[in-house]
Amino acid sequence: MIRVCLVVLLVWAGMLHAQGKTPIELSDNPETQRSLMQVPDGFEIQLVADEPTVVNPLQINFDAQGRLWVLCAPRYPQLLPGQEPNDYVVILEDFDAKGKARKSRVFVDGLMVPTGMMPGDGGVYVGQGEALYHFRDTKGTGKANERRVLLSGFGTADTHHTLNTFRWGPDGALYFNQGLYTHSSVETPFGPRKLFGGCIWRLQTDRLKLDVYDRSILPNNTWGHAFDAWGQSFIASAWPGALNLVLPDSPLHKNTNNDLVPRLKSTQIGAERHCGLEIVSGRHLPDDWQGNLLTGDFLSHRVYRYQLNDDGTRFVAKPLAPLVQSKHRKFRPIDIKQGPDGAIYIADLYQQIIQHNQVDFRDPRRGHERGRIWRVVRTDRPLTPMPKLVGVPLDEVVQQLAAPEEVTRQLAKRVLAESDHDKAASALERWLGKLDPKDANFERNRLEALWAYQGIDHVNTSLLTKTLASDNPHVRAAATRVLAAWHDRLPDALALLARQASDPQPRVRLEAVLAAGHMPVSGALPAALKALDLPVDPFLDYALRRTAVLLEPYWYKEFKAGRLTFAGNTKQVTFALQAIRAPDAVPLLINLYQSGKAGEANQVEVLQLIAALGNPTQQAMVWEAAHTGKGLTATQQARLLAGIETLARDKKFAAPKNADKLQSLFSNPEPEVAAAALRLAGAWKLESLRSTLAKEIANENPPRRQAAVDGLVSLGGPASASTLEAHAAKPQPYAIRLAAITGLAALDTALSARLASELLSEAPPPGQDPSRLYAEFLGSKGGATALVKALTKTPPAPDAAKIGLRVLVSLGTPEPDLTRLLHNAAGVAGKERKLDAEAVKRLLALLPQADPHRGEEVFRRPALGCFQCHALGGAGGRIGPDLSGIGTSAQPDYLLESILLPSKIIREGYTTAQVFTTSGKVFTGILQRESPKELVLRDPQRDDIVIPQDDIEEKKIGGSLMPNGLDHSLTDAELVDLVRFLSELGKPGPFGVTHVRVARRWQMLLPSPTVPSPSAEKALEDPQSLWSPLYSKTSGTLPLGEVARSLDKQVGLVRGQIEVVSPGKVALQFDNPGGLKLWLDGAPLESGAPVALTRGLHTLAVRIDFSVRTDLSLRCELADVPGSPAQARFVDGK
Amino acid sequence: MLTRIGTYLLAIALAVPSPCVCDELRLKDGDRVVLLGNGFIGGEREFGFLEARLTRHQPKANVVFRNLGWPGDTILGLARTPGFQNPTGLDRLLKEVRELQPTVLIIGYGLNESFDGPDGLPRFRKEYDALLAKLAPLNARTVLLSPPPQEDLGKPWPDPREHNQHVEQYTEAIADLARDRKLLFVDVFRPMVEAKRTNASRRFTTNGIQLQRDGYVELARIIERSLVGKSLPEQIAIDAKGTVAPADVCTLENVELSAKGLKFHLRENIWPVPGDVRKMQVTGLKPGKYALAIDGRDVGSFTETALAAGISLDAGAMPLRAGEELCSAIVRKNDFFYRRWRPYNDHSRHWGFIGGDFQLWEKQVAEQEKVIAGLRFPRPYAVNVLLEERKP
Repeated sequence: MIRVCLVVLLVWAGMLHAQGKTPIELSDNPETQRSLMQVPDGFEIQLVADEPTVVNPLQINFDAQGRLWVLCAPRYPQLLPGQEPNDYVVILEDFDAKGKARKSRVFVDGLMVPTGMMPGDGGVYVGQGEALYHFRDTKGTGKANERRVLLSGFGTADTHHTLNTFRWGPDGALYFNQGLYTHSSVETPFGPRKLFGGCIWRLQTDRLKLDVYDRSILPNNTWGHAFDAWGQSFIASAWPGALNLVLPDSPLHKNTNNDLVPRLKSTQIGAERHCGLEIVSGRHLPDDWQGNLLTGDFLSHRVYRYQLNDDGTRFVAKPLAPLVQSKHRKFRPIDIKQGPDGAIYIADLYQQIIQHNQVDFRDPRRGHERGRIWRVVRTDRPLTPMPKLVGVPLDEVVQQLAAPEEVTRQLAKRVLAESDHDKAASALERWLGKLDPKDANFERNRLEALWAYQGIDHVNTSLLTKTLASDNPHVRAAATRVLAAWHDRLPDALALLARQASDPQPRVRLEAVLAAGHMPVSGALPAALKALDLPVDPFLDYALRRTAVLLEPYWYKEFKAGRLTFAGNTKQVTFALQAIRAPDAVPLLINLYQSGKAGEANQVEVLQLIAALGNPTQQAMVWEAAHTGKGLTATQQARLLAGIETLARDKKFAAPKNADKLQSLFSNPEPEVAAAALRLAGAWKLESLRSTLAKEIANENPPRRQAAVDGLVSLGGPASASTLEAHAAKPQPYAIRLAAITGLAALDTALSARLASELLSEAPPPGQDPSRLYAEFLGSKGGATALVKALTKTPPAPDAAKIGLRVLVSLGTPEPDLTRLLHNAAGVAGKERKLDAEAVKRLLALLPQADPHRGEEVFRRPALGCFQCHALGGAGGRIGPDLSGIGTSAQPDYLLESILLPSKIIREGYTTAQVFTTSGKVFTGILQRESPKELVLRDPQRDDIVIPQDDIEEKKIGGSLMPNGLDHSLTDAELVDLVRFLSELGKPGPFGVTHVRVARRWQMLLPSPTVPSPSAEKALEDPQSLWSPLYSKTSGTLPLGEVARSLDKQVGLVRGQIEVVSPGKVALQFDNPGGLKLWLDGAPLESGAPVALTRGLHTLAVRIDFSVRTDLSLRCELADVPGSPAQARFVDGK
Repeated sequence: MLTRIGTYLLAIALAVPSPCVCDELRLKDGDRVVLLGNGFIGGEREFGFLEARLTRHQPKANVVFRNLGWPGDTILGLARTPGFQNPTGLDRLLKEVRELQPTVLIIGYGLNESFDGPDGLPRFRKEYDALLAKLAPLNARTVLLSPPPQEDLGKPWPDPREHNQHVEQYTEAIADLARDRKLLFVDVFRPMVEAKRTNASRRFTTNGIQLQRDGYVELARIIERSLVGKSLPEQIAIDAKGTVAPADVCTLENVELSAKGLKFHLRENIWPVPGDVRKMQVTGLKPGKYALAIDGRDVGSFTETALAAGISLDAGAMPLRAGEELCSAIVRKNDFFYRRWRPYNDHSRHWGFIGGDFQLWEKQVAEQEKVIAGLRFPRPYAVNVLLEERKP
């Protein structure tokens, strides 16, 4: 009890000291914890085991005897000096009616921070540190006496990334995951396997053949992986809270090609932090639960349930009422497994602190002595009897392949794989002979048998051929994956592949294209490309490109030699050549273009490829097409010109002799064509066109004007500088001055800074925003210093300074001098805080009086710019972590420190980089990825800033994008309110995470000179309308105060977006529709009335008449219409 | 199967007669031995056989061993991850080797590279030479090891014949490098192939390339034989008069001869270590059943003829037990060093919290070195060979 009190004291920093007792939601009594956990009606949650049997359970898995193996890591996450390794694997069995495991036995102990575990092959596989081990009991004592290193070389840099989430696949292979910071170079009998980053590995345990199964979709913290009944695998990630379909990735050796990393989204659920994933089935659960996904959300103390819907191409997961909701704050469900008995077993890490890197390993709040295993059962139906799989004839084992419980089918395959393979094969054959074609599960049973054959490595051509042609598309898709595994042992694998690639069902085609990547023969690609004859979705497009690249060594040589013809199918040839981008393919591409066989939609891609890979003579043909625009739409022509401009800048496309033909395009009626031509003229440095180009600066059309400035900047030299200077002063209109000065910054920084200070000393006129000017200075080397110098002489107007501060926040550029200067000019200067132990103590002591609601108001202040980078419930910036659940993982001291010293601890995945280029540019952002070719950053404005490695002069890694000094303008009370607000986020209560679909990301119409009255509904359609982001509060309510204040009239307009993934009827329900007029895509809408929506994006507009409406807020929920198949969500983000 | 054995025989036939192209490596007081390489080196830390074998010839010398083997590593240090204040790859490798100030370097690279086949050879040779050039200023006595062969485990494991031809080519390349740079070289490949040929029931690896206990026993033996040349007598012969052979490696003390047999203390110059076998022969005893006890532990009862033929001692009996204890102490030290050198969670962001732990781990390593030093030096043990009481 003394220890409990001590822990509590530390947690609440004295807050609860005054009250002197443990709050019930932190009580260590299992029965108390159980009473705080809520399950659906008709269900009950039972305690299976607790400490000291189970401590810090990290993974649970059943074996064929129905025993539950639990990986326990009391030392997690780090063994400290002086400590001996004492982590262990314990087996629980013989569960009584109340769920309690009557027997437990430690199978292995003395482990050092193991992170993944799976029973099998007479013992247990364990992932620990750098190695995968197998422990075995060869003497029948019930405890392992043999320890073998199976593979070594896995990364150890982060124990929450080391080998985890072990799972047997239906194919008999063992799958496990590694996370983002894991730098693995694994020694295998088939050669080294390297992967620096997150992935799912696939291991054939009988020969230790290790390959990457997936590395394409969610790269890190993927702590859940489950196969559905048809072998499709799904992953649940704690980052960024998504459930995804796995698109099995390529073999390793080609995997460094960044062009092939797809940006695909199959489903996106919300801001949950998933850990553990199970797909449930079987007789114990209700019919409408079959195939549901269960995931643990360790932040919100819940186990979520989703319904999985499959439209043949992609899956959508629909949130349902959670399986478990806990008010107890140490409940951390991190692994979920359904037992063969049908009950849902949950590993509860039982921790107050789950953060890994932000909290000291010695923090006394970390738990090293407790852990819980729970199970959820139906009270109105008995559990399914545990199947007999061990100690019975194989003929009985094979019958379990038809069991309704997925886990039982899986364990039956395991038993077969571990039996004598010849005997297993004959048992399977006998069983297959007895299957009844009229059985509703006939096709699934045959698929199970096919997998069982794969598990014993026994090729059954006849069964494969039958399943490939099954009536059930799921079976065809799954069998296609087996085809890839057996291809070198089949008589006619390519013919089978070609048939699957033209299957009417898109997922079968996808599997066929992926399968082709495993067949190292020239004919595999043409077979896969049959998929082009049918519609190609983004998954298939990615897979086709990947396969073409993977197979390049086998088909391209043959193609050039004329031995491989693709049967004259130019669509296939074009696609394949585009995919591999081989320079010597240019003549082939020219041939395709000139014969008109490339197809209209493809021709710009073909031309751009010729431009990128060809010699000057070949490029001349592209130039001809670009300047005449023959056969191209305006958009295509502009794209082609822009493509040439990029190459011209990289000096890969020299100006042709007749380059001055560009001049005629300057006055092209299509602004996009004219703008592209102006830029290209500059990139080619066409002096002869200088004067014509300069005239366009005064053009009324903003894109043309901007393009002219860009062109002049590219032309460079004193002439450009003086032209721009001439446009930089009054009486030129503000917009032109702004454009000219911004352009000038790249040519003459000091001069531009002086002119900028004059411009900024004026308050920006309505509709004008000098953000770009600030950004230009911040993005060039020495730019910020020059600007500070000029602004010190001529200070900016308060409004101009405020815009500058916003830019600083949004770009995340650390420029303390400029920040201070702008703070002063804007009149928001504050004082700097020292953060020593004394100050932390003093501020945290104020927490009990702090008000989270006031804190939310502080968070929402535009001057702080929190939403620029952070989202709440998905709505807001994506540059910093979504803060929805932060309160459940972060302690107040950490939150305080993060606000005051943003760079001290950086959340993983938010590594920042500042990159200086050879051309004097500076880019600051989150490091997305880096390859020998390029580095990719993300900043608050742009998702992918691609910087070629060749252009990089210097790079600095580290630090936060969050500016220092955000707290300066806050009083102590406001600061503590803010901390209190953050610490409540995600906890049960008014700031909790909710599954209600409520609109959180809005935009409000700003008054502007071109749109005289915001009440005009026309504003919705007018592209000149200016909209400003607006976010709902955590509760989902949108305050309208800001909308009302920004108006001179009594009417305001806000809008939001809805994405529909499956069409159907939905309803938009407003809490209080008084004084609101609603439109959906321009058509009037009634609150709560069903409305049919097609797939895609839809815009909701709300007109608020403040003369009628007294409620200064609104709230809009997306409601399901009974019987409707619709799947929709509000668009979030920034 | 016959053809596979045939290939091995061919390899043996073509092999250089002596596996050693080197001078002796004699460890001396103050030596700091650094083991560097991939998993083949790294895995040794769990056994300690190599340290035990190389130090037993000068048991009083103060010598430390540090294992910097990193599974999956290549000659460019590619597997070495960036961690707290640690640079990446080769820079990290060099920094860590230099910090340990080695006087002896034992390097084992090439197994991972050998999977690149002959195409990778020129690059391997060049990169290995560059690494040696970078390490040369340390003036450490340097030993280059060849990679071990891939063990043939039958189906469904990969057939290693082709790969082993490549390993052999890499072995030659490493031998050439050693010759050019006048370094010591130990061929591990051919003696291991030979050992497997001699006794096919031995299993060196868990998966063909990952050495397990017997593999590391053999590796340490090969290296010791190659660098020290001396081997331990497999049998110690004592006669009932209290003389011992071979007299150059062991002596008898406190000999008590009686009608019931004899008691004595045996002092050995060199301790056996795991992998060694030991027979004790006692000759000249009068007929009868004798109880043999070593260091207070009953070994068994034997007739005078059995004793004259020699009794094979098991690992639980002295002096083999002392070798096991020594190796366990080395493994414990290796564990402490591993935790300090390559701790989990060494991603930079975690280090603010465990940076101070370095000193604590170093202290543990230093204390364990003292334990090892105490176990390294042979101590005499009591042997009783006494007639059993005849039961009525």
